[in-house]
Amino acid sequence: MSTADPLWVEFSTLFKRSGLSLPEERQPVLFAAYREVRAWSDTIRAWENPPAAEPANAYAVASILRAGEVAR
Amino acid sequence: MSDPDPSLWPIAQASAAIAAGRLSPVELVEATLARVETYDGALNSFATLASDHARAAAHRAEAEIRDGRRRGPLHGIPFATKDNYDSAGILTACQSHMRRDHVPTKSAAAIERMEQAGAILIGKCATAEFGTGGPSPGMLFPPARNPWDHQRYTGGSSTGSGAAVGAGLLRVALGSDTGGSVRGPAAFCGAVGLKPTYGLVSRRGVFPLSFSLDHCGPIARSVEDAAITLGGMAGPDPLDPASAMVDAGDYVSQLRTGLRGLRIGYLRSWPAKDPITDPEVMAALDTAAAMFQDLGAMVEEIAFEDEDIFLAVGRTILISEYYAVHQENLLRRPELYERPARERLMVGAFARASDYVDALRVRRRLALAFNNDIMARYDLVLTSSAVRPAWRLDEMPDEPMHMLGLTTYAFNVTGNPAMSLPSGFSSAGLPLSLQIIGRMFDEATVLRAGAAYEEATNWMTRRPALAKAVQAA
Repeated sequence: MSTADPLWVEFSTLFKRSGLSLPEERQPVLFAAYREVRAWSDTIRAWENPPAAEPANAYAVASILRAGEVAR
Repeated sequence: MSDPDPSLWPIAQASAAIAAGRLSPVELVEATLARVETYDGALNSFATLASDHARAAAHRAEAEIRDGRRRGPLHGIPFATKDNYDSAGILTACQSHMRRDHVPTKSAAAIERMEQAGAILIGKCATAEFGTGGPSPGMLFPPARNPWDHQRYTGGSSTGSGAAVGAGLLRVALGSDTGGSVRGPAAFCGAVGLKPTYGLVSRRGVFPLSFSLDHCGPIARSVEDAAITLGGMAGPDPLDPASAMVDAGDYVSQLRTGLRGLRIGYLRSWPAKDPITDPEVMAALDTAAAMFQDLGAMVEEIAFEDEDIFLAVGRTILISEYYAVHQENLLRRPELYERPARERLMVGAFARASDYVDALRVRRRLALAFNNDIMARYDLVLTSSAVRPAWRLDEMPDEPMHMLGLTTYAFNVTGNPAMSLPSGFSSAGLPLSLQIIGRMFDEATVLRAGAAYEEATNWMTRRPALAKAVQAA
C-alpha cells in the first residue's frame, strides 16, 4: 500500500475528517473496506439514474399522520 | 410416540395438549428452562434467562386457560428473542458494554403482540454486538456457539436465537434480519428462518441497525412453528413508520395443501457463480429443485440481474444508516464497542450522501423489476440461503466487511418474504440450506412450499448431540 496511492490519500483525508480514531496497524484493514465502498459506488453509478428516478424512501406524509401524534 | 420432554414437542402439539388440559404451561416452561440450564453452558445461546418472569407468566397462562380464556395457539408456549428487542423489566444490552445497564420499561411491539397471544418470554438470546459486530470474546456476554460444532460460527447476527433453536433448546426464538441475520443463523444452525415482507412485523422497540433494511422474524424448529409464530408477531403498527398496516394473514391453514399448480423460478446462477459455493450446497439445491418438481410444482431455471448490484445497493444503504445511528458514540465513547463492531460501524463514515441516494434510487428499480418481472411469472423463487456450511471460527476473515457466503441481501433490498430452511447435511455433518422467496405479503405460499419440502425430507428430525457437547465443555 503506497502512501502515494491517490485512493489512500482520499481515505486518509476522509478518515481524518470523520474525527474517528484507529490504531495504525488496523488502517490497512479499513482502507480495504474503503476500496469496497468505492467499488459499490461504481457498481451503482453504472446504473444510469435519470433525474426523475425516485429514491425508494421518498417521504410519505401518511406515516406521520397515522400515528395519531399530529394534532388535527 | 411423543418425546417425554414436552419442550421438544412442535408448537401445535404442545398447544393442543395445553388446550386439552394434558399439559400445563407451567410444566412446559419448567421443562424448557431445565433444558436451557442443562445444555446452554456450552452454547452461550442465552444472554439473559428470565426464569422468574417466565414462571410468573406460565402461572397466569395456566389460570386463564383453566378459566376458559385460552387466547389461541401460542397461549402457554415459550419463546425467546434476540437481545436487541426491548423487553420490559429485562436487561436488553445488544451484547454491548454500551448498554450493560439498559433495562427497558416497555417491550418491543413484537414481544407485546406475542405476549398478548399468550406466549411466554423465557429470555434474551445472544447477538452480534448491535446486530453487526463479532464474534468477539470481549463482548458483554460470550459469543454463541454452533450446536453442530462448537468451533464453528452460528451465523449472525441473531446468533443466540439460531443456536438455541438449532440445538433444540426451544421451538422458536425471534430475530432481526437486515441482510440475512435471521436466515444466516438458521442456515448454519439447521433451523427454519423467516424474514417476512418488509413492514409486516413492527420494528418498534428493536434497536435499529439499518432502518430501511431491518425486518423482524422467527427462527423456528419447523415451518409450522414459524407459521404459528408469525401469526402472533405480525400486524399493523401505526407507531412504526415502516409498518405496512397489513393485518396478519392465515399462515397455517394452507400449510398442508401441497404444491400442485405452483410455479417456481430456480435462481441457480447466483450460487453457481459464487467462487466460495460448496459443491455439496449446490448438489443439495439441485436435488431440492427436482424434489419440488416431484411434489407437483413447475420448476424452471430463471435469470435475473447479477447479485452484485443487490449487494452494492444493500451494503451502501446499510453502512449509511447504521453510521447515522452510531456516529455520536463512535466519536465520544469508541472504547465501549468491541473492535469488530467498532470497525464495521466506522466504514459508514466513507459513504457520501450521493452514494446513499443513488443506492435508494437503484433499490426502487430493482424491487420493481424483481416483482413486476420475476414475481409476476412465478409464485416463488428458489435459491441458496448460505452457499457453504458454517465457517470455522479460526477461518473467518478479520475484516470489517467480510461476506459470510449468504444469498440473502437481495430480499432485504426488495422487501419480499424469504425463508431459509434445511436442505440436508454436508459430508462433515453440518447443516445445508436453501431459500424460498415469495410475493409481497404472500408468506402463506412461502410457508406452504417449505412445509411440503420439509415433510418430504425430514431434515428437521436430526438434532445435534448436546450431551456430548456438555461433557466436552
